[in-house]
Amino acid sequence: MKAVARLMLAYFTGTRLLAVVTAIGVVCVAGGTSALLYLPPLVAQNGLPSRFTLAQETAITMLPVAGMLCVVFGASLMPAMLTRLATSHYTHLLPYGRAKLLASALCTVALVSAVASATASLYYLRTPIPIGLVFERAFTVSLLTYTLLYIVLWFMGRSRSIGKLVGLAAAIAALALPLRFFAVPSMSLVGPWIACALLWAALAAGFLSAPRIAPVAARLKHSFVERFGAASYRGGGREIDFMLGTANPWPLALGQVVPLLIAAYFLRGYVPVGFAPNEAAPHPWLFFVTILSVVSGAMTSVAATRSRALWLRGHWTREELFARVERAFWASACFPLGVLFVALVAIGSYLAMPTKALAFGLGFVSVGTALSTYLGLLITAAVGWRLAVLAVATMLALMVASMYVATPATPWTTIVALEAGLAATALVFRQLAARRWRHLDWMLCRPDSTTRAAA
Amino acid sequence: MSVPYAAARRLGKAFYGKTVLEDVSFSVEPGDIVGVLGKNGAGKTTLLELMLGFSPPTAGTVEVFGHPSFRLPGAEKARLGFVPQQDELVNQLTAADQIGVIASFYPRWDDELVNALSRTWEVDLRERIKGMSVGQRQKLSILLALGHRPDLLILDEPVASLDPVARRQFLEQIIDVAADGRRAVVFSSHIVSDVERLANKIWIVKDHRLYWQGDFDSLKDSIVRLHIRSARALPDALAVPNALSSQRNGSTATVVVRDWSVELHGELAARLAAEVEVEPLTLEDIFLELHR
Repeated sequence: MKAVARLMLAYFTGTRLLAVVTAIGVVCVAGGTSALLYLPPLVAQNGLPSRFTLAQETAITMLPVAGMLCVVFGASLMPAMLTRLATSHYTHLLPYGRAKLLASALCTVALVSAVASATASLYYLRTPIPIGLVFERAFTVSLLTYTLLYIVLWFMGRSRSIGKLVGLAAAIAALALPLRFFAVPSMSLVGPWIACALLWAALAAGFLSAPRIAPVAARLKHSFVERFGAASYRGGGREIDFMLGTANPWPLALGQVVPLLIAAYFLRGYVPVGFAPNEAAPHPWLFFVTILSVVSGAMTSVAATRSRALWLRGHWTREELFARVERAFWASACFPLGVLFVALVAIGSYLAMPTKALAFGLGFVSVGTALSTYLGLLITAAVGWRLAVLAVATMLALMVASMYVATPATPWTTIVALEAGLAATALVFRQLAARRWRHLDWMLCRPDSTTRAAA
Repeated sequence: MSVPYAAARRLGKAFYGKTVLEDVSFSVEPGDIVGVLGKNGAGKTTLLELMLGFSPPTAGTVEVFGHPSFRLPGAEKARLGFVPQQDELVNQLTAADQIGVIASFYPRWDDELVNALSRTWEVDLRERIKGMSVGQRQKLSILLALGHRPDLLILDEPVASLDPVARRQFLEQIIDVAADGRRAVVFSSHIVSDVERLANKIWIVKDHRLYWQGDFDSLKDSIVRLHIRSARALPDALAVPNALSSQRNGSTATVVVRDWSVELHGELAARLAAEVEVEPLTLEDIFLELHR
């Protein structure tokens, strides 16, 4: 128990930033809860006489939600730390190490879910709906969503592109499942509970029996390779592509099909909350395709580290190096982007996405790739808080904009302005990246820094 | 009779038909400080990792504290300490947090020892691990392996990244660990002088086998360099039994032999009608001769 508690403490307070965020989260949740419980009812938004201004009421209402988000983010060290410990010798050596690590992960997800559900339940305190029912419903969905969310973070921390794709599939599920759940409020809780139980049972089985499974899996892999031959390299053969990892874009391009199909499955017959079936609501398909468009671009985050060998061998100036790296990544990104174009139009048409959104969506997806490409190229040292904030803000802007583009009522001029604005931002990022590469310091972007950034 | 801390019988490991270790038998008793020597790829790390139960053997058995190492019970793991070749620390944490996390897994943790060693080794516990040098990280790894005062401490090339001062301090600490006679240490190293200074037992891994095991004095007595001088030219084939290498130059020859004994000395001198001088070798010389 002591080890589980200590691990959880480290997940929430392992870094200074996370410790501060967690502390803010706890204060906001506690303060917001007290305010909602003990202050007079917040009724200004209903036009009733209130002792607070509308702004004050909004702040009090949002306080617990902000706190809850901080607590969720506060535990974001868990996937990276769990991966590090689980893939090290410690899992073999520490007494009951594997079981305690797993228990710490489950307890953390349960704790975060409990905070989220309690926060959600707060808003139903003064309604006739039984609070226990709200908590149970919110807890079930939160547990499933946060489990998937942390799995996403874990897979995204893996360096292999297959890990990123599995992470994406889980991300799509994490995003689509609650949408579907809230879209159909009468949906039974049995499904999410079974999904949760199966997910955790699979995680536990895999994690606890890894020492026994690993040799068997290695033997199977070896016999498979002996029988069918090892996967051969099918890249273009240029040294720059070998070193940057852009030589074979097909696995990523074709691998996107799996998360796309998962998302398409969940989105059949989807109606956004608060909209009638025939009402012009934003179509979520572009949102999911945009998420994928970011991934192919984000691979540039390793470019600076990998370019060190090119600097020694290529006899290029740093400016020339940047130009060649940029070209190599764009040449590689064209393949996944092509697949996304086809998927956007083909599956989008099947999901009855408006033609205008389809047409503008093509440009939007390209802009998404451009933004993430240059954000990745901006990483020329360990990711600091400024770059982290910039990346999060850009991604949020991209997600929100995708919903606007996919809303039939949005005028085309607004869409053009949005896309032009984002494209201009991408160009600014490019200029910034080019400037950073002119002073690229490989002592600041060693492989371990990149690993940390990925984690 | 007490159970040895670690014991292997005809231990072997193969990966996909490729033998990495074969027919290895040994025993580690309390008080033993075993130095494991071998060239790169000889099988040292595999041997240590089989002892630790990281992987099941493909032949024979290896037991730790009387249990098969691959199925070592959780409670017995608290008696085991390990320092890997490459540290496995969590970059984001401070040294104190990393120690706190690892300490929480053990029922007994010697904070006093860890604090004292961190001061002696100049490890700043408030520093974040990602900012530490390779040597500092290695020192922290060693602290983590010593904190629960393990009965059996296994170290895979622990001093490779340490400066000479830290290396000496570390070696002294290892001697302290084993001084009470209740603990045992098994460590591999390429720094032969460290093994010579520290170990009371030596294992030499060669060609995937435990080529030699025993105390240093027996090894020195067993493998020697012979200087043979004769009044006439020596024969082309000296036919010295168990010769590892030989160099002949007319009436003189230099031969390195193993399993040397006084009887062989007399027999050789008589057969060659020569004066045979025996030169004891340092451990480094022995190691080099064995791998010539």
